[in-house]
Amino acid sequence: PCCAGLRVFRNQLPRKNDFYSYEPPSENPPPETGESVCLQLKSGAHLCRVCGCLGPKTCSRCHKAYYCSKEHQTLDWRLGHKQTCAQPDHFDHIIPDHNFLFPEFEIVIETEEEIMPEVVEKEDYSEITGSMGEALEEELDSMAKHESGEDTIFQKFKTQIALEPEQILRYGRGIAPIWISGENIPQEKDIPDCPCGAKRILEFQVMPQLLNYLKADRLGKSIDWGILAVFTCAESCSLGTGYTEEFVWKQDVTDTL
Amino acid sequence: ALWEAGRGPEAPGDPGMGNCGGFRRGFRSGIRGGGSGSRGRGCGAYGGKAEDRGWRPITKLGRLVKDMKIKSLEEMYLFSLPIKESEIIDFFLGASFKDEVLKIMPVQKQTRTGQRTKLKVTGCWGSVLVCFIPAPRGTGILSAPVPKKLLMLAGIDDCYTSARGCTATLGNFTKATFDAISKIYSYLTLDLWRETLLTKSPFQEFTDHLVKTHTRVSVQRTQAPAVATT
Repeated sequence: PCCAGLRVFRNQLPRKNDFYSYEPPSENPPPETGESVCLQLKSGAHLCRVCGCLGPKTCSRCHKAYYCSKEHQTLDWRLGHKQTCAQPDHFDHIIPDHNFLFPEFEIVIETEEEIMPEVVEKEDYSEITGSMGEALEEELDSMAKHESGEDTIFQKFKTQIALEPEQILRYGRGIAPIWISGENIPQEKDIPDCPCGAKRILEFQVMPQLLNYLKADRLGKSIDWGILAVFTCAESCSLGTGYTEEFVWKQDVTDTL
Repeated sequence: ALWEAGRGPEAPGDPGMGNCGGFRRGFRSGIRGGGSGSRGRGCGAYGGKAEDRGWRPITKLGRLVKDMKIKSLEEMYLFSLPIKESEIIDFFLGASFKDEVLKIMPVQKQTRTGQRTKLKVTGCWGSVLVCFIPAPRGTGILSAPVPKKLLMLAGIDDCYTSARGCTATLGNFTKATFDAISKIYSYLTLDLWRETLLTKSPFQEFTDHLVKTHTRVSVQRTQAPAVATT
């Protein structure tokens, strides 16, 4: 409803499963083996060259390139397969940049420090202007900036993130999120319950800094948000074994000054 | 989830290998920079104006500016997006900022009354009333030192002022000046009106259309049945 086409899914793969090791991978990963990517699963299934999803369709000419859809086949054709398809013995390990997927990064987790009240250095005012000078300066500042309630919330947000300007996500089950605006804050009734019956509580929020990395900004319309608050089942229930949908609330940076 | 979009898929079904699996993100708890405190706490303050490359924008406008997709302040105004991050202005104007100090000393002064003209702007605060009256080019700012300083900073070169009330209350005097200055910018004078094309009103358009297409049809008048009124 108010998430502008954004949806969030929870992967329900338990820690003990048939696909990944129970233990975390070593901190020192083995060196990268070059650009080549394996596009076939051990089970024999092929993956789409553009998006990595299941690719049951194949290029009718060479039968060596697999895709999930006609759209992705067209994309890949234009970006190089047109040349390599005709060559008899090609084996395209190098995947061109189709500009379809977001770039991939690793998320590093740290704990946030508490904000300590700042120690303010008081300037040496002469006796005459003394206390009046300081209070006056603050008021003048506030007047000059035409500060509103909206501004205060935005400034508070900026102060909080200043502790770590690079943060892209804030995780904390059940904590209160830091809003970027006074408008469009969800009420309890706006957050639907989990189908299992339990309430949904905040688990984490996605910060606008993430958009710096996605390279999705355009002068015209493009994806944008202030924050994305993700609410998940309070009981952490397991509905089936695949992905289950949770709830995301998008709050924009306001247009008003 | 957006950030889990993968490039090349790994080959699952091989426990113990997951080096590009999603699991690493769950387990990894990076202790960067030796934990809290060792990193400079000054990262909160925005130091160094345009030279500071450490700005991480949080608005779309900020990101477009930092990415150099918007190349000037003027281009930015074309999009009418509110500038919520001061770093954007620093990015374009950083070097040219100057700091001026308005030192407030209690000095009593009489101000002259300017000529009465039609376009006056008045600001008030407390008991103080401050009027700005347009002055011919070359006049300079005729006023007490306090509003003079503020008018200069606002970029106004020629102005008469008039003040009433207890101008000795410097706080109120300054605030009244501020109030008047902000009102100046909400003034819409004739030269600021945007040129609009004079188009016909809908009624006029319809009338013209009817005149062209309406043909006179002779109506046969029939005897209307008598309507019984009770």
